[in-house]
Amino acid sequence: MTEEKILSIIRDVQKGDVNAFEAIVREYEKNVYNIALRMSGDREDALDISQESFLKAYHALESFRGDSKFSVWLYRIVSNTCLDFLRERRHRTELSLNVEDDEGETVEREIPDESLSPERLYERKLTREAVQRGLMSLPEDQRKILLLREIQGFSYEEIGRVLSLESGTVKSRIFRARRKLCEFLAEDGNISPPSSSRKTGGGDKP
Amino acid sequence: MKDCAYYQDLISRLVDREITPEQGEELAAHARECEECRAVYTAFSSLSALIADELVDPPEELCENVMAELRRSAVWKQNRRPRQIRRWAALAAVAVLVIGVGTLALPRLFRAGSAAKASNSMTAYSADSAAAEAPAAAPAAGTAEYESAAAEEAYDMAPPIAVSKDFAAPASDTTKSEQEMISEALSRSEEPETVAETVDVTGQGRGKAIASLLTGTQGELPSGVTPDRRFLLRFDVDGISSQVLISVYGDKVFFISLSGEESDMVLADCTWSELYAKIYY
Repeated sequence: MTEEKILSIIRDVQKGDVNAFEAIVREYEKNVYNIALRMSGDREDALDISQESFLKAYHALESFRGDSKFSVWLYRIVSNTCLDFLRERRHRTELSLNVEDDEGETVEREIPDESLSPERLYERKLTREAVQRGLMSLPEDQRKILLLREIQGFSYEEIGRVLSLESGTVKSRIFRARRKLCEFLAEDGNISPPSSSRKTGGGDKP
Repeated sequence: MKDCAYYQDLISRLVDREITPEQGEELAAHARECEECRAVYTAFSSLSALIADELVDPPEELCENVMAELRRSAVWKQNRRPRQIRRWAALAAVAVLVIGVGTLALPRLFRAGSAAKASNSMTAYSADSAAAEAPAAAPAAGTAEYESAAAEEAYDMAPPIAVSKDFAAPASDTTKSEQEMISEALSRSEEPETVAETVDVTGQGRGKAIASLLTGTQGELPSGVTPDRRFLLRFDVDGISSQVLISVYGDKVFFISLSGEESDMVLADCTWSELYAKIYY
């Protein structure tokens, strides 16, 4: 959807057309959900975070003036909701005596692709899980920035506006996040071309 | 000679298409010489693909839940558009609660510092939008303590009074039990949610006090149980707006959310008056 189209829908919603908001949800739900999923590592949590983000966005929509891109505005809400949620979850985990069964497996949906053998599919599943573990090992700020970049495809400048950071900071955090993720996966052994520089000191040359 | 960390930083920018042509050339020249940086490029770009290409479809309920929730509160949203109507509707919606719960002490939740008995008869307003358009008007006696200025202001601002006569039951009806009155008031409302807002409430830190009183009975919402009636109460405490969501289950059990969010609901497990007593005293 073009930015113009989105703005015109938003105006409808602001005038009181609740149903028009559905188009906004449909437009962004996939990316919002996937960012929430990779931030939280849990499907239920991702659903909660996404729903809450959209509800908050709706209720705050009056304050949206169109000064920035809508997506930038929206992801500021998503980002805050994610962090609130994770903070609360940490708190909850600390408090709860019995460990919840958190349905462990987080990102296990198979991509239907008949050209792949079962072995290959299994391999991909492992890789996906390893990537998710790697993401979870990153500090939240790095994880969030990387996901805004990779999933929503924001530029450094846009991420800067979402998170109130300088582009330079965004750039270096993304770089650090990638390097850490590579190191993690290299140790985890589940990604083939890891060879992250720093660890091995280049000793893996032929 | 720049070290590999410099070039790897450029690689990250290249993957993000945030690199200048000059930097691109510089990087290309280095990469021809450096196998490690080529490997890093492969790693960074395959990581990028791994994260971005395998997005899962969100569950259908995501959009459904959001829209269902918004439609539920649509009546409130409609009423709050113009600020004045909003204030009127808000106070009037409180009146619904006042009348709905009869002589219960709920309104004192909203009591302003210098609360005075409102001499006006209060205007009842049904959260049901159909009722808002109905011309029927009937004043109802309110026993509520309101800051009279606010009440009068609200009264003055009221558009042609729209009252669901269902809500006009005199508050002096003392023959019914509290529970009966609550249940009746609730069953008359077609909208599951009645939203109220008062202009200002003093009483600093009351939220915390409420919280500490209720944490003793903290509990999750029982699964499979949907709240049949909910009140979302919005108010300002010392300029900070806050809200409390209160649910009624069956005839006795109340849930309360101090943040106004359903996810924060805790089990209060008491009658309304007990709940009130807990909160007020």
